[in-house]
This record gives sequence, structure tokens and C-alpha cells, in this order.
Amino acid sequence: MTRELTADAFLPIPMTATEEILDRLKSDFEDPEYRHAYVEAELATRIALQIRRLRENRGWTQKELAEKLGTKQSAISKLEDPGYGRYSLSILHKLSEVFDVALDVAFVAFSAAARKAIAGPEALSVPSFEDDFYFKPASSWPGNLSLFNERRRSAWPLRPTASTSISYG
Amino acid sequence: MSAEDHELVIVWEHVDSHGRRSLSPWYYGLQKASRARFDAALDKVKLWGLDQAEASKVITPVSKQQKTKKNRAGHALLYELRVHANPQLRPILCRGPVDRQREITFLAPATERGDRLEPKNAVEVAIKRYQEVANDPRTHRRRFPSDSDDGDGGDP
Repeated sequence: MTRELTADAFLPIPMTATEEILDRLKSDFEDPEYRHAYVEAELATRIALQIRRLRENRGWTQKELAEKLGTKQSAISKLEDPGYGRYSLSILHKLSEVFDVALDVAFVAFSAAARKAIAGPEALSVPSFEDDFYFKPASSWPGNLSLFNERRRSAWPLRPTASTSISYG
Repeated sequence: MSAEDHELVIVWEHVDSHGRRSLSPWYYGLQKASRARFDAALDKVKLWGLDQAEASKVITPVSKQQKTKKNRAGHALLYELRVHANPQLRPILCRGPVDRQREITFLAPATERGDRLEPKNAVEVAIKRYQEVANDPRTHRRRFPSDSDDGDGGDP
């Protein structure tokens, strides 16, 4: 079956929000000063917004989070200010304990930083250990067992199990 | 809602009756690092939408400290994009004014020193420009930023 080519076939496909920004960053990131400043500012904003989101997801006020951290509400307000940008590893560790989530600090390629920069706000939500499906027993997932196993396999694809073996030639 | 699901927030800037842009010349005159920080903040607004950006304080209502007898009525319409740089950048904008959910319009450049905006008349200027854009958006706004710093005038 052949398809007739019309003028419409050559119209550009409209870019999504993320494609448009990624496309711009590809050229802007050519400049070292620009890319370092952009990533630093984006990271500071993202951390502030994630602290706020994790607090709100747990239904805590700033005052309640401050009490859990042993600090004042005004300190939490600063930590949630996208313009703050002076986070120490120590305070991030304390926050990760209070939220019961893992802290991951890593050097990454700029391509990875750009992808993080264009993530939507939902990417900032992280379940506490208590709500992390991966560590729930399979029996607690009625109806979702296959999904659970599928996710577990995709998370650890090379993990050998009793029923699998790896042969080398 | 994911970033891919919603359309990009459309960003405009005020232009005067001679077609001179109000923000682009200032934007292109920023130091490279400051412009990068400005872009990082604006990208969050574009990707997250205005309600989320406001809730997260990426944009905030213009501080009450900037309220004067002169600007009391129009003050509530204005926001500032908060950009952590040196000096702190606080370009003044409004939501809409045509579509308040999916558009913003930059009205005047500003920086912040000691809780005060500079230039001192930035809020008054922004209110006047807001009224121009609201009354005649076809004449008084263009997409931001301009393609380049092509010398089409605007604020020094």
C-alpha cells in the first residue's frame, strides 16, 4: 500500500513544552558559563520546591517540619525559598531522615541535568520507605502482583533468581 | 499533570507605541550567568504553569513594601519573577492580561536591593504598562524574548 505525499506531510510537528526548552538548552549549553549557572540555579530551585512538596505530601505544616528537625519555622521557610541556594549536605541528610527518603548527590552529564530541569512537578514527589512499593511484600499487592514483579524485574534486570541461570558459552 | 501534558505558558513583553520592547534590551544586557539564572526560573514557570509557579514562589506578588499611595489600586495585579543573582533580579510581570492561566506579560525590568525595587518607580511604570497591554494587547505586546538583541529600543 502506498501513501500519497501531500504538502501536509512536510509541516513541522509542533514541539511540546519540554522539547522546546531542551532544543534551546542544546545551543545555550554550548557556553560553559551559561550551562554552569543555569544548572546551579535550577538545582537550587528544584531542591527548594522538593522540600516543600515532600512536606505538603505528608500533610505537615512548616512548623511541624521545623519541630521534627529541631529548628524554627523561619528556617524551613528559607529552605523552601527557590532563591535560597545554600544547602549543606548535613541539612539535606537531616531532611532525608525526617522524610524517610534516600538522598542522592551525584555528578552527572549536562544532558542528564537538562532532562531533570524539564521534569514536571510530579517528579518531585517521593514516597517514604513506608510507602515504597518495592519493599512491600508481594502478598500485600493483591491484583497488582504481576505489575509488582514486572517493576521489580525492570529495576534489577540482571538479578539472578532461583529459577534463572546465566551460562557463559 | 506532567510537563508534556500542558502547553507551554506563553511569555509576552510590553512594547510602547513606537514598538520599543520593555524587557528584551535589559535581558540581553544581563551578564551571562544572570541571564542563565533568569532562564532557569522562567523555564520553571513555562513548564509548571502559573498556579504551581505561584504556589512555589517562583513568581510572587510584588512585595507590600513597594505599595505606595500612588500605586495602591494597580499594585495587586503585579508579580515579580524571583531570580537569585547578583544583583537579585525581580522583573515585574502580570498574569495574562488576556489569558490569566496560560500567559504572562513582562512589564518592566527591576532589581532588588535591601527589600526595595530599583528603579524606584518600577511599580508605577509597570502599572501604566499593564493598563496599556490590557486595553490594547495587539499593539502593546510581543513575544518575549526578541530573537536577538537587535537594538529595537526599550529601557536602558
